[in-house]
Amino acid sequence: MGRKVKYCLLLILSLLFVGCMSASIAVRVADGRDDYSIYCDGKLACATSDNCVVKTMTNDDHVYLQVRKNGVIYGGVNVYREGDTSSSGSALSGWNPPSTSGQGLQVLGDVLTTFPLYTITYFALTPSKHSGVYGTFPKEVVLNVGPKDSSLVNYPWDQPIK
Amino acid sequence: MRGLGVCADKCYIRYMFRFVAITLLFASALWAKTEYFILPVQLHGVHSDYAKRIVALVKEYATIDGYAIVPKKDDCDYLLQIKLIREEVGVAVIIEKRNKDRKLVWNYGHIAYEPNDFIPIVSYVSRKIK
Repeated sequence: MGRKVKYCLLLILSLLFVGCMSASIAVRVADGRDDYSIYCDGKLACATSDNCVVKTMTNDDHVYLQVRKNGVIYGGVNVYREGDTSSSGSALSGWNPPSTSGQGLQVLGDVLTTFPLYTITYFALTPSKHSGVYGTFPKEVVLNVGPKDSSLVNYPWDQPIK
Repeated sequence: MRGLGVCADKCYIRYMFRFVAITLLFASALWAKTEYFILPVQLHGVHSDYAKRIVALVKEYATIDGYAIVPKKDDCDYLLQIKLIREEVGVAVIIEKRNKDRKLVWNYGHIAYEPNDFIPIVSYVSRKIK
């Protein structure tokens, strides 16, 4: 009886935490300037790039971070969750099914109470549009601004095309 | 009886004519291309060669995405204002879609670090405004 109460409490707790996949990502712009705005999935996350921490509640496996200044996009990057498929298994492997040494009814009761718990916990921990990967977002992301090719820095825009 | 038969024939032809006319009207609305007139490119610290290049790209993508660039302002549905503004790290490409009364409808701004960056910018804008 005590065990059932325990499982019911766990079930309620797991229900409470469904959708609470919040993550905080410290975002920095590579050139060190703080006059950029940071957007996460098209929404303003930080008005300035100084001490920017992007908080997201998404269940997706990635977020799109963008650097803008005066409405002009300076760059963007998809940030993916870190981790592999084994982490999804390990999240659940720590949980052991209840002992089945009791009588038939006790086993049935255990199955009925723990199956929803197992299922709900699985869906709560698994991203909705996942690619088979479960993990957390990196704690810090550096967004690059400027040309990828260093020879193009200070491109002569004021001169005719060669 | 005979009169009724004549009326039925006439009515049938009249209804058919109306049906064809309405169908053509809807079809022409579907086939009609949105027409844009490109205003002179505003340049700030950028050579006019880049204005020519970006306008050429817009015309190229208009053909791909199925809208028209017209030579006369009077014939257009919308105006397209392109601005190339020199920034510290590159050139800010700002493309504005405006009504004929110059009211801003939609705009997009993206930095170009080199001239080849015009291509993805124009491609994106072209798909958005088609």
